[in-house]
Amino acid sequence: MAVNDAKLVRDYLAADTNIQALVGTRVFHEFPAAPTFPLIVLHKFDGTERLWGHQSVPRIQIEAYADFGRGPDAIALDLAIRTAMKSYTIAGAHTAGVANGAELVSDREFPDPVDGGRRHRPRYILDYRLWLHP
Amino acid sequence: MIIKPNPAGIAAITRDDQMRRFMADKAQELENEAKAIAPVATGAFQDSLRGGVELGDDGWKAVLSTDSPYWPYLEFGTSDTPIFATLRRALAGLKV
Repeated sequence: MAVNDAKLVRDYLAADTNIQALVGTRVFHEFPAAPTFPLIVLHKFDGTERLWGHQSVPRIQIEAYADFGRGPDAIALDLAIRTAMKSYTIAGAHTAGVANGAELVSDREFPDPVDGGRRHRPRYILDYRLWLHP
Repeated sequence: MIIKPNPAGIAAITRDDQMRRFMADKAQELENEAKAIAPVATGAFQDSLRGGVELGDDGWKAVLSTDSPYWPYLEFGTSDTPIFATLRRALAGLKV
């Protein structure tokens, strides 16, 4: 049975105490219609399977958003996500499956364009590759 | 038995014309894959994707590029547009 990889990562981040201190439960699979900042949005954008389908290797994009003029909030959230997603920290059993490890592929600052690009909201984008199995 | 790497030999291999042709083939595969999965509205982004080779410090390498000014928004998404991750998915799909 395949792992619901996006749900595993979402639930894991939402349960992290350092992340809760920053965003509460505002960890979403899509950008909310009426956002309260700071917040996290994550998407699975690619993935493969190995070991005859037993192991799932997804690529997950995790986005740390802060409100306009609150760049340090985005930085703090970025660092909290990186701490939580360290391979030896996320490794282990979760409700949605087992994590063997995680690799940070890239971490980049890419402000979110708003109002046709006239304003930019602070945002960091973290790209992870994970190894998961049921 | 002790195996010692030969840096000069490795450097020669990575700069060899055979390596350039190999990387050019991979670059074409990257371009084909990226064009196949790129989002299409006017076709401008898809047409802008190019595979090529460059000679760097470590030898020949395959490069996938675009001159589209809005490629980051398609690649990473925004708060109101989806992620397409064309370049990342094309690279992930490359078989070496």
